[in-house]
Amino acid sequence: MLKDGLVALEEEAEIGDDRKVYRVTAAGLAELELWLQRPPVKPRPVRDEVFVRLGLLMERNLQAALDLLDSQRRIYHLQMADLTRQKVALARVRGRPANLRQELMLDAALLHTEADLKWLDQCEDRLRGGETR
Amino acid sequence: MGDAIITLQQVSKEFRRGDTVVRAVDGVDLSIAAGEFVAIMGKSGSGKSTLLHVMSGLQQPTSGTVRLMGRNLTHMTDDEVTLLRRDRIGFIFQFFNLLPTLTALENVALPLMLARVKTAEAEAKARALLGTVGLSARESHKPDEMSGGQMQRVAIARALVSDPPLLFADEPTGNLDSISGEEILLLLKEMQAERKQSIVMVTHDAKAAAYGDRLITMRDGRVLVDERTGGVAV
Repeated sequence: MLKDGLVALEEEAEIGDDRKVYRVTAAGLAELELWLQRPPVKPRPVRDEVFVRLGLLMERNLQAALDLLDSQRRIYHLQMADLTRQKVALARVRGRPANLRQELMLDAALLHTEADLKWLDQCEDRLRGGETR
Repeated sequence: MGDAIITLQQVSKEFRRGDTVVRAVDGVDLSIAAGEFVAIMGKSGSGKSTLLHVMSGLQQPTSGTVRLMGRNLTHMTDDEVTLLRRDRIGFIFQFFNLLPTLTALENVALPLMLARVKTAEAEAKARALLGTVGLSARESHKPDEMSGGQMQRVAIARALVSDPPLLFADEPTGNLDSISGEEILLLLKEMQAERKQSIVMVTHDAKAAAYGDRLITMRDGRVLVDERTGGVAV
């Protein structure tokens, strides 16, 4: 960042030890503004812990894999209930914009968990489809 | 555990489809306590809607016993069940089921009018409930002049107008955008907290189900999972 002129060394700052103090330059602020407005391109990781277990389990023991789907579903439902409690609590003390950020986070957590649940349903359909095929 | 408001013992419901008999609900035992908010989930064809119909007296079970607020539905005549539903149970549906030619106020007052409550009294009560659901400004609007969320609020006010201890909701957010849906669920949650109403809601939406204190999952006509997801133990 120093080389790119985004920050500059603050010469006068004295902290006693070897730490250095930098300040953001105008170019740095401009770059930060651009960064804020640029959508991140890295995809969300797909291979989560459930996926790893399911992938290994389904060929060794189909029933165990189906049971894992059931118990995982219950856990996701409990997590969603917990997130919803936070949401209900938030709705009772609605004061924008302070709570808006928290509301957005809860929305994200709920919708991602909902997607996880839908994925489990689809896994089940595919695994059961394999039983009769 | 509080008093049970609904008790199902070995309840089954069969339908004839051509030459085959489909067992939509298959030997369900269930008890729902007063003040509980229960969500029922399951894929289409899992029997969740039939279960709701049987629980609420809309359909008689093929076998088994349904007790609703201490009364055995199987021993009651159709007229008695109809009266019980009108006076003691509120219903909320996916497509609101408001009468299109009536205003919001008239829709809400309707159950009381049918119960021969005086017009002035019925309208005063309806007015108060429209206030509770935040629709005082819409009293004279007809359904087609309102948004989906507003229509569902009117439907909730109508369901509450006879002060029923029990509410049944069939996919209440199924026809709403997610933020309107959330507002409806918050309203139901509030009604449960303030009026100590029991709520039984069928939904395929996990986000909606998460507002309940208890989640029942149906599969092939049976209860697959029945567990407490929140709230204080009743």
